[in-house]
Amino acid sequence: MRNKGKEFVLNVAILVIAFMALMPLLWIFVTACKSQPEILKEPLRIIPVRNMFLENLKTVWGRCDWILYFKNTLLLTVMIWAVQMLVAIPAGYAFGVLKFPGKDLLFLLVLTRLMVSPESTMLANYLTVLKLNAYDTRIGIMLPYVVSAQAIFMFRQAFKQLPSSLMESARIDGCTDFRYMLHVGIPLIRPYILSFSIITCVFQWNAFFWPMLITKSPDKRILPVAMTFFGLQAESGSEWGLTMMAALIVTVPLLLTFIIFQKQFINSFVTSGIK
Amino acid sequence: MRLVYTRKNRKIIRVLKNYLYVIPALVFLILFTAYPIMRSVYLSFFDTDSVFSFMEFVGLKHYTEMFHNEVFSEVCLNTLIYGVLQVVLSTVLGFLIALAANSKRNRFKSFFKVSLFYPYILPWTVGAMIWMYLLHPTRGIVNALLNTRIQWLNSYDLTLYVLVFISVWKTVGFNFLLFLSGMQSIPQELYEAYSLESGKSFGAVKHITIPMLGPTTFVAVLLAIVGSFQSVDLIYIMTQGRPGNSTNTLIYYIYQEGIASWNIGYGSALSTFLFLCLLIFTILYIWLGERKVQYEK
Repeated sequence: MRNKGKEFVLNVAILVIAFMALMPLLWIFVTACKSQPEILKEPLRIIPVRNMFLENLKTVWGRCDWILYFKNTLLLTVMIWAVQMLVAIPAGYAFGVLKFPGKDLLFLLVLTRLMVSPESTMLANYLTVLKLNAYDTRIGIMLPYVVSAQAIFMFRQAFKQLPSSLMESARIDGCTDFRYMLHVGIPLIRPYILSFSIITCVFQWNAFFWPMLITKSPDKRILPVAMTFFGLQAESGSEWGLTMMAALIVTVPLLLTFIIFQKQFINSFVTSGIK
Repeated sequence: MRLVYTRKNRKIIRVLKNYLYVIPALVFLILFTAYPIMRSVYLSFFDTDSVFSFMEFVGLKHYTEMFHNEVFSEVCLNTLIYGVLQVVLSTVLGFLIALAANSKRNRFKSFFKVSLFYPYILPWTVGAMIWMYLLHPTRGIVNALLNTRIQWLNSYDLTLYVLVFISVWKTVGFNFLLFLSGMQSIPQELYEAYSLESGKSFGAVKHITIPMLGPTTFVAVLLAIVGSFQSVDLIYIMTQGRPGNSTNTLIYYIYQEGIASWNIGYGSALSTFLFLCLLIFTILYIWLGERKVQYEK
């Protein structure tokens, strides 16, 4: 009897916490379905008198070129992901299994980067990007993110965990180090590659501050930047329904992907933390 | 010139080849991590303008200016309050929620995970927008529910803590998952042995769960600290450091001074200060962490 009571209390607490965490998301949906007068007069109403979802969507869709922002975001995310892989896999491999003088010292540079995030070097990087004439270009947004210390770190651990006998026997068979990495190593560390890919894509899809600093033309904007400018403008007219609709446009692709692949998502973020 | 493929040469070539794997990474690490650090230190001793049309050596002027500036001390205090509160709250709450979720009696495991973790993958910008609406003084639902007219985002005493709350909401899910996976990897026999030996059914959290989670806590706190610098998105959208400078933090201040007002010398001095803090902090943290974690093993 006492156990039943405990179970009940625990589950109620869990539902309350979950509901509190979900409330903001719920309210994005609710507000996106409301009409302007209703938002102002009855902020607490959950089910709108008339569902304005499609009307709001039409208005928001008509005000900016969201397809372009989608394309920009997608392109940038894929480009950053691709260069990060090209740079971090060989580096992780070399730091993990190869031998060369100065390895530890060079790895210290990678570790420094883990603490000194791109945000903290923003001023000097901004000047560098200006100097390279990369202001207001995709390359300018990408430059500070080409190297991911986290990726090098993860892949180094992954390559280290492979049995060393594997590499020795490959060498005896005349396999070069590079081909070993390509044909033996990479397939074996695939789970780590997938994990990091999910993390970096989520991160880049959501990036705001640096892309905002580096771009000025509206047609270079990515989704979070476009959504923020749209939202701040709509907010000054208290058009919350439209702001929340814009938030939905940015969020829905990501949330759907998350719900479909929740196991992979959750595992990826957890492995990134455990290392 | 022909290379002679003696044994020794071949070995040197093989070692040199190994550098090829790390060169792309090193080039970009140097250009966008090492160089900006050194450049900030260098520029902090100069007066200049946005296009570097002149460079005047001013010695420690920017540093004396910095330490005599009241805004600077306020910003430092804010950064400290924001960072410490956010890290402590998201770690402690993450742990407590994981404890509840890990219970065998929990009937909503995967729903609970998803509902707490989704804010973490949401863009900060979306989080900022929704909370700006929820906390709106006259139209927002928080004031409507409480039947108040509190200026959540425009108050000298309150707003910094509101920002802390929002970033805890945004990040706690990640710590929760880290702790949950840490708890699930603790062997069940330990708990059984504990209850057999001590004859108690409570106290296992204190004597087994917490000590076993030492390394997880170490990582969670480190990542939370690194992550707390991302607050710049939140501040830029929600408050821009206002009211006054009561929600201004170091990175946002660097942006204001260095990029928005082109005080490159002063902004660089601020950046240098930030690097020094990060450096001291990292060394201290790793040193403490290694001692503590080893001791617990």
